[in-house]
Amino acid sequence: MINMIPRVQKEADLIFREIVKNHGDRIYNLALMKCNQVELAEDICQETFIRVHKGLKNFRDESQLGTWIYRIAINVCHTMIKKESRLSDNLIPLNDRPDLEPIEEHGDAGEIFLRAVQKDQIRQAISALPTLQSDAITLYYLKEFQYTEVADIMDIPLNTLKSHIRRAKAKLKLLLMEVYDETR
Amino acid sequence: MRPDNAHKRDVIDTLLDKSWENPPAHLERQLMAIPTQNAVTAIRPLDRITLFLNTILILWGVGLGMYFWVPLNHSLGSFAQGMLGFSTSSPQILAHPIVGIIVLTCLLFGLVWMDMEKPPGLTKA
Repeated sequence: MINMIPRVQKEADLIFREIVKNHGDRIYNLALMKCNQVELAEDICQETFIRVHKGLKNFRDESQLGTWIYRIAINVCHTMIKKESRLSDNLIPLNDRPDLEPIEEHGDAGEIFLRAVQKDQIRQAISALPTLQSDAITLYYLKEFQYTEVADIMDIPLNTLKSHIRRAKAKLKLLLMEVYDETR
Repeated sequence: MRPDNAHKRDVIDTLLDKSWENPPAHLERQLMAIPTQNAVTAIRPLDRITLFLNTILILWGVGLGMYFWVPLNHSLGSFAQGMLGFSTSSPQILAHPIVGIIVLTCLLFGLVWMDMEKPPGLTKA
């Protein structure tokens, strides 16, 4: 976690780059979990970091930096997913993107394909959850935060968060039992 | 690489772990370029081309308004005359040059404001 507060622009830029290195993957996965669209996830990621960069030099509460970044990410997710859902016909599903740069995966082609299908099913199930449950389970999935911090990001009481995660997991278990059996 | 903190494992944890995706390589390059992009935007707070195009649009709108204003003013005047017996002439205030200048200034700044980057604000879901 970044533990410095920038005073000048140059320092802010250096810290920003460190934030990208530390949180870029997680923000991307958070967005991908929420929308299950590669292009949209990239846009969400970019918009989040644009806002982070603009707000960073005025940011003062260093203990809240992590939660601040993910709160921005969640808000950007909500806004952009809502906007895109109106144009959902133009979205390209993850599996239909031939231009994606290959990700290093081990195993034969059939195994890799099966894994990609399973990932897609998992993300579809998560994006089908109610908003609060899907927020809770995606933030929990990042393994970056304690429950209290996730509750802080979502601005809900701790017990409500735990209940959302429990319900989300129960629904996911029902939806994804088949996928789980295949992965074992 | 996916962080691996200690958590109580269950079926869903296993599935979630399997769905971790590495971001495309170009994304990190794009994200790293954000400070440069923001710096370029910051030294151009008013986009001159946008301002120029908006001015043309406003001038066109004013011309169009002036073209239609005379017959509209006539019909409003005769309507007020017919209904009230006298002309209130209230629409005439819209034709006053000072009012026109205020409206156009507001419109111009409104359009420019719409094109400007806003400071990041946090909105709750």
